[in-house]
Amino acid sequence: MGVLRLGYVHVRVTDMEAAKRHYINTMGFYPMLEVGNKLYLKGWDEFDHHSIVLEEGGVGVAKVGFKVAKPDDIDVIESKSRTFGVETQRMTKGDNPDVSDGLRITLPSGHIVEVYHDQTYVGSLVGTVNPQLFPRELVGIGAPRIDHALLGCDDVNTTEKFFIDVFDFYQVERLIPDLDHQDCSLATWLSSGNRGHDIALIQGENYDKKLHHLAFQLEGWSDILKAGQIMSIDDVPIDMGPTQHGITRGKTIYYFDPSGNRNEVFADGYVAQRDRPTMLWTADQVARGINAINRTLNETFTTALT
Amino acid sequence: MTGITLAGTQVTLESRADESLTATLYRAGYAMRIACKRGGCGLCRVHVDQGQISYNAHVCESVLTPEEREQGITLACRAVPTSDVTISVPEEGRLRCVAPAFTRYALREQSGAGKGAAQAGGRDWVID
Repeated sequence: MGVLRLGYVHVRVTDMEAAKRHYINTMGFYPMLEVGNKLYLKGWDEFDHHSIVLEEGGVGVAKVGFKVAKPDDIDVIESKSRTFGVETQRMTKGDNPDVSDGLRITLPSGHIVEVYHDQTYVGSLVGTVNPQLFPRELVGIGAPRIDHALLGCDDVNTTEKFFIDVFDFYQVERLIPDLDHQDCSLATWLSSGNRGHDIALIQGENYDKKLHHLAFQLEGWSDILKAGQIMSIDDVPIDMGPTQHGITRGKTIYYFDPSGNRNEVFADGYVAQRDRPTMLWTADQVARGINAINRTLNETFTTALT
Repeated sequence: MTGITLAGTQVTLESRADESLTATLYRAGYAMRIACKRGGCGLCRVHVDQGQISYNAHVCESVLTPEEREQGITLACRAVPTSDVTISVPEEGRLRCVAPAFTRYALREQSGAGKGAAQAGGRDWVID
């Protein structure tokens, strides 16, 4: 089975109280545990203990976690990581609260990723027996779960190859300079399941270790607009949208948390399949790929990272 | 009340209490390259040529280093002037006037009725 999905995103925030107002009151995530300068949160439709970790001090991404199906998958990934030539370190149960033992890997891009096979089971807010459509008392946007993360890389090709070779991700979409230079990835969208992406990478100078955004999953255009309305009420800075991506066909708003980390609400998009051909985007059409309706690239989307 | 002079122009904008540099600029019809507005992305770097600023929220050192602060560089979205200041927006900051009507209004309002008409009637404040 290998990697099931993106499990958690651990981000740094400058002000925990402001971050709580955003991730709890605006996004509607639920605080599960607070230890020292870290807060662990989950969405209402997630079953495991947490999917977002906030750590006070700095900005950007501290690490990203991927859940695998079974303990043996850790061994396979460890072996493949060594063959690939990246630094790994075993982690023990409890290194991260409520997370099993696993493996910590330093990507070619410098990002830290962790793979684990178990998290404390908490259950969703609607349960598993005759579940309601959603909890009656959602807060703010009421995002059900995280969707994906986009990381910055000085060199997308190498880190993309890591995810394909070691994690057995498949390539859903890809941005290249032009059709005569198909070997060069300027950006890539990679999936392990049926989402358009679990992880994406974008190329830029001094982008290693950086976060472009983490995304929350919503359903449908009307929930995207509703999210935008709540962002307006809560004075959340907007980067782009509401609009629809050409890439993945997801509906979207990009916005910033109180520390300047970009977030996205992402809805729908097509069902990705392992045997679906990779969609190619050429650089001259990137504006339509990112923003299919407006078709003009803004001055911040590819340059503001934390 | 403090004044924000835009280096290389005749324009001085009056800052309201606790107003960040970008808040004053946008209120007065200007725009510049900003993204997160929360002191995290660092795109709104400007240079404080003269005067003092403070911050309306913590700006972490990974975004604005102590060396940069020493050199007078600040983040316009988080900096609040505490004295009259002169600021230089670097070329990549792309300071421009996007709503001349509001620039005219802000300048007229701050110079008193009629008194500022001559200045506001000119085009000195238009940064293309």
